[in-house]
Amino acid sequence: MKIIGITACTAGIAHTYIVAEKIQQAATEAGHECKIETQGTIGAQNELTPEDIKAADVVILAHDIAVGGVERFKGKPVVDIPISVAMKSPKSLIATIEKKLGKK
Amino acid sequence: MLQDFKKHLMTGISYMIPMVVAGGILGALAKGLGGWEVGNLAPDASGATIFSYLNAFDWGQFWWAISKLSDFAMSFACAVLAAGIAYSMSERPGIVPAFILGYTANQAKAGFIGALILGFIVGWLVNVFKKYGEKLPKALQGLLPVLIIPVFVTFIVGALFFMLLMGPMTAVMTAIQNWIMSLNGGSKFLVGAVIGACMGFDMGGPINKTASMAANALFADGYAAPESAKIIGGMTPPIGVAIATFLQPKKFTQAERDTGVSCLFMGLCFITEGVLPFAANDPLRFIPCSMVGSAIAGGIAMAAGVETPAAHGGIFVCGLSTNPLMWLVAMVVGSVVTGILYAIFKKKPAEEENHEEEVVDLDLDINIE
Repeated sequence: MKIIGITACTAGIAHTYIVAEKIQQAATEAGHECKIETQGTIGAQNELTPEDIKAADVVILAHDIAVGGVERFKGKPVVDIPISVAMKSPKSLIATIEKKLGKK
Repeated sequence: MLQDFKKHLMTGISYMIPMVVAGGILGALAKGLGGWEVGNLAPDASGATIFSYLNAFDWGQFWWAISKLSDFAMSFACAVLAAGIAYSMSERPGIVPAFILGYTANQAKAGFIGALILGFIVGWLVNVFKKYGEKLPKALQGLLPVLIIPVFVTFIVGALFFMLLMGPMTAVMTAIQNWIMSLNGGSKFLVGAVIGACMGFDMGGPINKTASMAANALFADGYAAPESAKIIGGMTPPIGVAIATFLQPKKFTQAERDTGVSCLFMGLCFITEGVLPFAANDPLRFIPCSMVGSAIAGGIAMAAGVETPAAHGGIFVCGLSTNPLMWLVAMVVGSVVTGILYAIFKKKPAEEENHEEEVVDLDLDINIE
């Protein structure tokens, strides 16, 4: 499936990017397509396009602070978690999403 | 509920950090280059504004003007904090009332805690207005964000502040400041050590951020010593790990040794998060070592009365502190303590190079937005 998401941490310079990479890696390893937008202090990078969002099966929001542009995901299944969950167990995160959505 | 509370608070702090950094570093720069008495170098103040007779090509006056930038930034730090909190709770309509009230809190010397509480009250009240606003006739709904919310929320929360909250908030802030400023050597060491230990506990997690927040708050109110404990205490864990990999290379895998090198640089830049690969794999051994080093570093810095007028910047703000030598001493001693302790306690790596994450079911909800 196609997984998209947003990461945002408090300082906006480290965890945001580490976690984006972890989710990306775990998703790719499990055979999914994945794109993560990072909302650091510098602003949004690797922004999700309307096409990305349209094609996505699930949206992961991993954040400790408010994220911008959530209205873009209207009608999409959204997983809302603190940064630490994705930091500690990215593979479990992907596996749990697979199970709950019932598809590989 | 608590999770939400934390998210709003963290959003506010996240927005405030660059403000405090800009204000702190510019102020230190002005003091460093214009002299400690830069505040007295003001141009003739009889003009229409304090800048009317400014000669920006005069060395002293130029740095005086820069120190004004710093003052303005610091006086708006509380406003940005409140605005960030309210924005996180109620989106755009929360920004303006909270900005005004956060600045009011600063002017009333209710400081950081006042701004924080006002930010939450504004966010909550804006949400109430938004909820009941939906029942208004369509024609009036357009007025909600541009007229009703900015005017009424600011008025109501402002009135509440002046009538009820200002007195107690100001008293609390003054008491905290006086307490910290009145500490003598021994108790200063203790406060520094506590801030340092928090910084070294979870490497950028909630406890680390709480300690940072307290130090930033005191700094926004003009007391810069806790910033030394915060910055140095946050730098020693990654530097300490690097030292441990140099001391006992055999105990670390190749990947860990490589990470150790980048940790050294991240540590010098005050990115405590660099140490997470070690802390996550080996928390029981690593975290105590890191806390001890950070606590010693923070304690030394505060006991020596080192003030660092900056909220971030690592080694680059060392020169701005009131005592760069003790600043470096605190950093080196703390890092070496962490390094030696971890080099002793670290276990040799098992056969496999990579520690695999155990895949388990997580307790999460998937909601359709």
